[in-house]
Amino acid sequence: MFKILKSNLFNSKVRNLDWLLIFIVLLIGIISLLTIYSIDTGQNNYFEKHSIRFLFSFVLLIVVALTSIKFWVGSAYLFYIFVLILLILVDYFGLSAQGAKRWLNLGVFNLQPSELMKVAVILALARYYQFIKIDDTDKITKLALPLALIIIPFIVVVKQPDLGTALFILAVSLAMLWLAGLNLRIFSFGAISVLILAPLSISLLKPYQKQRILTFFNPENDPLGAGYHVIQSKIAIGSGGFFGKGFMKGSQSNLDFLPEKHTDFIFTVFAEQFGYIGCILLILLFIFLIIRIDIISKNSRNTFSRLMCFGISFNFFVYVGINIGMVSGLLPIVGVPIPIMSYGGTAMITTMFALGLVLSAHIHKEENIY
Amino acid sequence: MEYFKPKAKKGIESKGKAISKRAFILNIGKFSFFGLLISRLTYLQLFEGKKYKVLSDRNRFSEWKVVSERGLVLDRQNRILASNKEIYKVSINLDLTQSIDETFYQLTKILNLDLLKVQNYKKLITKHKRTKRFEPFVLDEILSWKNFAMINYNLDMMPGVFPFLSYERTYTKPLEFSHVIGYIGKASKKDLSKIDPKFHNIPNLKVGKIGIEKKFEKLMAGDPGNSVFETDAKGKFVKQVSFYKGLNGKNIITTLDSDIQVAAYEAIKNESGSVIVMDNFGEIITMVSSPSFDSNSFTYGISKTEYKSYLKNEKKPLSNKALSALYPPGSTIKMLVTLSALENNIINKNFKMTCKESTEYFGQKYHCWKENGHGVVDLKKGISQSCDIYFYEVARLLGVDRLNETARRFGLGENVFKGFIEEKKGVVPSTKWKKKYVGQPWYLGETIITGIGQGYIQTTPIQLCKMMTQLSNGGYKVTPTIFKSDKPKIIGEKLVSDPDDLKIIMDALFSSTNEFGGTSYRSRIKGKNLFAGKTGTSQVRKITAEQRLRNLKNKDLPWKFRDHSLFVGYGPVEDPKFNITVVIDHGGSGSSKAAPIAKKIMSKIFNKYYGQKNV
Repeated sequence: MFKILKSNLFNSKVRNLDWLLIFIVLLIGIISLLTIYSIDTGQNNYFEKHSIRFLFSFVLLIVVALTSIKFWVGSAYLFYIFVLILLILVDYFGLSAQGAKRWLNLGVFNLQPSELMKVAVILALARYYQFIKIDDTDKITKLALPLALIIIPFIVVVKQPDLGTALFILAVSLAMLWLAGLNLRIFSFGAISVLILAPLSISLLKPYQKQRILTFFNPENDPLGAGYHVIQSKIAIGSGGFFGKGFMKGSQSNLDFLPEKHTDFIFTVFAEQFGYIGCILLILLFIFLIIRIDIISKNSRNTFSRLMCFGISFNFFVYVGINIGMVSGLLPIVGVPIPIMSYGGTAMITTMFALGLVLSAHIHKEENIY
Repeated sequence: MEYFKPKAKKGIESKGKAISKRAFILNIGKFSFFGLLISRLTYLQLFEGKKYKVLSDRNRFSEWKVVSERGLVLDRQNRILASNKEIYKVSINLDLTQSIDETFYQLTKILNLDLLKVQNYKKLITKHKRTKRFEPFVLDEILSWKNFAMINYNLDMMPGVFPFLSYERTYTKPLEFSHVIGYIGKASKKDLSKIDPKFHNIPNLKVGKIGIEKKFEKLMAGDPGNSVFETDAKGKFVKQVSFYKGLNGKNIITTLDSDIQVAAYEAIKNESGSVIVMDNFGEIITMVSSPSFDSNSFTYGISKTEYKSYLKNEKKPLSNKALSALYPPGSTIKMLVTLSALENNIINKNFKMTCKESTEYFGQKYHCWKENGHGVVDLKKGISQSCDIYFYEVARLLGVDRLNETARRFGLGENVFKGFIEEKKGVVPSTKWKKKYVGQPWYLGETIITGIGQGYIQTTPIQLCKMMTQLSNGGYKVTPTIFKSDKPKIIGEKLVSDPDDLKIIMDALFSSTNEFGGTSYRSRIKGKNLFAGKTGTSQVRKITAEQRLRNLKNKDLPWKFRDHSLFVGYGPVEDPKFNITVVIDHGGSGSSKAAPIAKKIMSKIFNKYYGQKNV
């Protein structure tokens, strides 16, 4: 009897999965696999690894989706603390690459805790504001914890050093605070203090970080140096034209003119081969995904789900916006991947985990949290 | 547990509303940013797509142009005058090079470049990048085979470095032929703007600067080859896309005769002047200018000091005097004055004058070169002994405009060749000419001195040689050429209507060289074949009465004030085949300097072409 009840419950949960969202995710996944395939020379097994990661993360997505939203509320802080510990561990046991320690070697793959932190901080903030009355949000006593939740990982990530991810976390967190109803005056106050502190923080930047910001303003100044990436990326995107050069025919990507082409610059590889039409389609898919998450958020009854989903949709927006912005020369190169498309284990898991949370919120949208 | 209370429920509702409101504002921001991204992509892919396509191809393809082998220059017996030496060079394609320092570090290991040289190269490269971005930078080094092979072997370490085979022009007789063949040099911006774009961006491209090298540039340059290949981002070769071997330039067989050219050079190498030998169809057998320069030093990069010393030299070694030096023709014009006077029935061959050294026109004294005068002079004697008094009178009767017509008919005052940029036109004056260019009316006194080839009249040695040829070949027009063609030689229109007029002149020339009293009698050739010609002495200054009184001799004057020494002639007398012009700058009288040199060269010609010995 109990079993039947349980399987009924399971069935109804599966029935309540948001298949539209899953369909969009699968479409982006297929595009991603095609793109990775087009630059896989067979030496690095990018395609194979990316496929496995996508499938594994997809299973994770379903599992997370079917888990009760109450569980995620309950474990939000725990998850946050767990990720924070990993983040601090990186400082001691992390793998170094190009002067930055960002990864933990887990044997199977290298975990990048700062990626996970992007979701953890959303969860923690959503959990916090679930239980705060709207009239109390502006009280300094009620603001202390969320600020701590934001600033601690920010500082740790900046020190790795990974300014891009740190700013990413900050941006998403600020959006969360904004959604939670924080007074505009507090934001203004914060903005003014940042402006005052900016010169100080610039002096704390690493030379390569300064170089990147300078290069952003004038990439042609140093065509073979730091500006090389932007120029080559713009050439690849631009030369794609309206219809693209065709699948597997991207000369820029195949001849290694693109840096980091399988991770941060994967959009460029895609744009070169599939042109303007492809780009618009892909961006529309991401926009649909974001709108879909926003709708799920709106339909949820509890504040936790609402905040979390909005946070995650904003998270997606920042991922996609910054990535395309930087590869097309609108923004400086800050090392932000594009979700699902980019090759990278942690980012894939984080993204799919976040989407799983959204699905869980969708399944459990009628539930109240007390 | 306060949320159980109805009030709390309300709180949740208002919270939800607050979130929605704020999410809406956030979404406006989000979607405007997406709009920005899409417009960025529209700009990059649709509006700038073509530009980036070109850039992407430039990324992808590298073109390597190969200079074709320049055509040889040969003499009329197919002896090589200018050829190409294969050399190994190395260039750097700056687009494919990641780090210049690294490249030079690797090159230095093989080539043994010293620090100073490397620094100099780096400076040049910075300049090169600014001006000729897509042209490979060619190092000034000529590599040994071993170094060439070493670089090829280590290419992987030096992206952007291309060793290549090229040619350097080598002249067999650099001094003797320097002016007529000219030389080649690095293409200047001006050169590049004029030549076919297919020659652009050729490493180590040299183009003809002057002489035959310039005149026949198009024929000799050939068609450059190229190979297009794909490279990856590190400049490494991926695959060859296309290859075209190119076409070698055409060989230029000239009408020049090395033997005569060398003899002529030997004869005048210590003087400043020129020699031209032309056959009776206008083929240039010899064209020498002196002093000369080493044309090889131009291809291998002439040093600044050497070049400056050439420029400073008052004898102008770099100029081809045969084509570009202007002289008053002096007495060599007397043949044309005679012809013109006979044709216009101003005089006949019996016209006589008495020469008493000087004469007076319009209150002005005019002198003959011969002290005490020639006595009674008829036409033949007037030419052979070059009596000035006689020709003053003939010119006065003839008038400058009729002389102008005849002189122009014989090619004075206009270019003899097409395509020798160094050639000058000279001046054949007329009343109209003076009005137009000097702005004054013509004075009769000027007609009188024009009759002995002084005054405004200016001619080049090649014009005088053409004039001589057109007289000696029976009065037919010739088009002088230096390019030996297989087509049968043709003779042009008849320039002289009455052969008798010509005969009078030729007889007088014979007498001038071969009869006692003739101006070049001392330079006659004895033997079966004779030669004949006319001397000329052209003043470069006005002789004042005081100087005439002091009987100032040429050799007492500074070099540049001395008279030019000229001689035009032909031979053999019986059947004229060769015509010669010798001009020695400030050499004194024609009979003392130019005529003996002409004799030497003519003897060499008789020796070579007629086997005449002991001359």
